[in-house]
Amino acid sequence: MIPVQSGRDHTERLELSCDVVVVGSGASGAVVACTMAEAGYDVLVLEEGPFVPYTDYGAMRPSESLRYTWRGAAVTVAYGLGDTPHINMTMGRVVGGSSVLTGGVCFRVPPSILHRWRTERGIAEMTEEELEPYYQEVETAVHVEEVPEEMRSRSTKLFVLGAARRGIEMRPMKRNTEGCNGCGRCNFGCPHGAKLSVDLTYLPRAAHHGARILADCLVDRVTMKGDRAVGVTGRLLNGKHGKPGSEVVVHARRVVLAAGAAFTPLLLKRSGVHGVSGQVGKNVTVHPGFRTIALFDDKVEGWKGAMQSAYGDVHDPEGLTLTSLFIPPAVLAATMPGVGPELMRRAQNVPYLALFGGIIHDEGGGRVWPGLGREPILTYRMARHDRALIPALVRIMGEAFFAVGAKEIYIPVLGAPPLDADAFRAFPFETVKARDIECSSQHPLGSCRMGKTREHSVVDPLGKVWDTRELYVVDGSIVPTSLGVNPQLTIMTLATRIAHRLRETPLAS
Amino acid sequence: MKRLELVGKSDVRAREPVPIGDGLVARARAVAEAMFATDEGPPPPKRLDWLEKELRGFLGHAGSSARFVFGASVYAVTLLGPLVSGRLGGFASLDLEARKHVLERVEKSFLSTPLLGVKAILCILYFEHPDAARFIGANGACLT
Ligand SMILES: Cc1cc2nc3c(=O)[nH]c(=O)nc-3n(C[C@H](O)[C@H](O)[C@H](O)COP(=O)(O)OP(=O)(O)OC[C@H]3O[C@@H](n4cnc5c(N)ncnc54)[C@H](O)[C@@H]3O)c2cc1C
Ligand code: SF4
Repeated sequence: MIPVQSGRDHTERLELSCDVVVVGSGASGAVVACTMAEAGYDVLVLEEGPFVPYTDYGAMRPSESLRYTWRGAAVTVAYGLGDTPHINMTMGRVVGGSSVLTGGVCFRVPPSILHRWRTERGIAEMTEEELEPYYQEVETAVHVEEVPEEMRSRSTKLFVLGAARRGIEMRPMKRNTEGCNGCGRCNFGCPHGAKLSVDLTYLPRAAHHGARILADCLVDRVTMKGDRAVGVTGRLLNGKHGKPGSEVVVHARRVVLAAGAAFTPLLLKRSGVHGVSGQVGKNVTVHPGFRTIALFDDKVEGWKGAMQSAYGDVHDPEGLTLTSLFIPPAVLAATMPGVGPELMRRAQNVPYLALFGGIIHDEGGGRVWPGLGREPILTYRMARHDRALIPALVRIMGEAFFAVGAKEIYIPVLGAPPLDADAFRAFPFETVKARDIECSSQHPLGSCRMGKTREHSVVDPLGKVWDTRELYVVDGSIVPTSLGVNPQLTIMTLATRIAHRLRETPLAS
Repeated sequence: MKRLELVGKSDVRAREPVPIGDGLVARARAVAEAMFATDEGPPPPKRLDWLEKELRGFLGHAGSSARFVFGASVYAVTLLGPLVSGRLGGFASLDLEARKHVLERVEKSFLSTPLLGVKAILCILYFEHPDAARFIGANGACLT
């Protein structure tokens, strides 16, 4: 057994010391904790969320996973400013972070994006050759493999065929799985231990090498002594109903922030670390995501098969990625328009529905603001170019489904009725108000972006917060621009690269 | 491979939920009764009792900002909804037909976003009931 402690099992103030404290146990924090622990450092991981053993997921309905492991039970919003939809922005809050909730999809950063990092952001070292060994290390640790065609759900197969008929090539996805049986509930925690999220890979390795993991522990701020980080303070969530209770004080020789793109900027600001760039909490990109649902005459039962298994890049217009997904029947029923008998009739069509999604390679425009309580306020203003891509994306997805005989399409527009092919083609998408468009995101990035100069970025290319000592950021917040593809593998790779340097850098005495 | 295990007894499912106000739950129930009515009439009261219990559990663990967003959305729909559709009187006091009419109008009004939030949570919970799941043809296979 490799133990995890819960802050709820302590009743008093806790004072701890370590070499390296890692705030957040998600995709990036786990990687750094593991690398440092394996190198012999005394590591402490603090995680706000609870610990849920993967074996418990099989006994949980999706709504139970939502309430226990998703931040705010997924009722989390980035408020759209101007001509921008509100975005349902979801994140994990559990030991293992959002990594526990992914569809498992793994992409390397596209070469064109690396090129931008070098030319526009001046980070000359971001080359494919530089990142190669770190990608390899992560891909081996979490077992990245291609999803075989036979694992595709019928929903995906239909779309892939339709896309081919419309001239769009779809390719197999890679996922971090081993022994997947295609039960399709990846987003609610894999009950089979087949999705190799960090709670099953990096964190056990870290703990095996002595790292301590404390769940239900909310970090409030970094303790700074001049420009040097010397620990963190926070609260154990041992108050009534899990509210913040006893104080926790950690003395550390190095502080690594891995709380995710929505929280790390708040931690920095609360700790008085604003930087000269004024960029903390700005430049957030989200990959705005849109779904299209199609009704077929015969059964699809799209929840049977790997939830995510194929993707395709759209080249006209540029800037869109099509990506397979599925959601459990109860959640799918929730997307049907109408109320009463109309809703219930449509809900009975759930087995006949296919679903596909697409994301926009966005330019940014998101911002993290301090909220009244613990949670941040997220806002997002979509670039005009990105906004114009929404109708194009929905049209492409709808046409792919019509090419394989869909009867009707449900578009992501609130209250819109299902549309047959003629109605779909005549639908005035361009005039739909942004507020009426359904949009979601699972990929907040960039709120403490990495860069070459303190004037334009929050951290340097090795994750060190400019003008501080022993304070590092390693999570999705450092990603310099939108990736246009799912980010977990890249976040973990950048974290690995930083961790390799950290383990070679002597600690402050 | 070795797995992580918790020391102590903090199983998430055994945790006490934050109590949810009866007023909010009653309003949500009134919405659900209209939302899930079929041509045969409203859902059986027992199903709504189950939904109420689930809603309390869900919101009780969801965190304060989720409770705030859901609560504000329910109040927006049930207080402003009747006005938007030209009805007088509290939402819960309207008969079933009138409530359905209000929700239909709300879905096409400026209140569509709050209604989406309410509908999404109520639907996710409602259709997890084994009978409701069967009704929509879900066989539970994706839960194992
Ligand atoms: C539903 C869903 C599906 C996804 N699917 C995919 C996919 O298929 N492929 C892909 O590449 N990406 C996917 N992603 C995105 C991916 O999971 C994230 O980009 C990645 O996990 C981010 O890593 P991170 O380390 O920055 O943050 P996270 O993994 O989110 O970890 C941050 C952790 O820090 C904790 N924390 C925050 N604040 C504090 C604090 N003050 N004190 C203590 N702890 C704190 C949080 O509770 C959380 O556990 C998905 C995300 C979601 C939500
Ligand atoms: S589809 Fe595979 S990876 Fe996803 S939950 Fe099922 S077994 Fe796990």
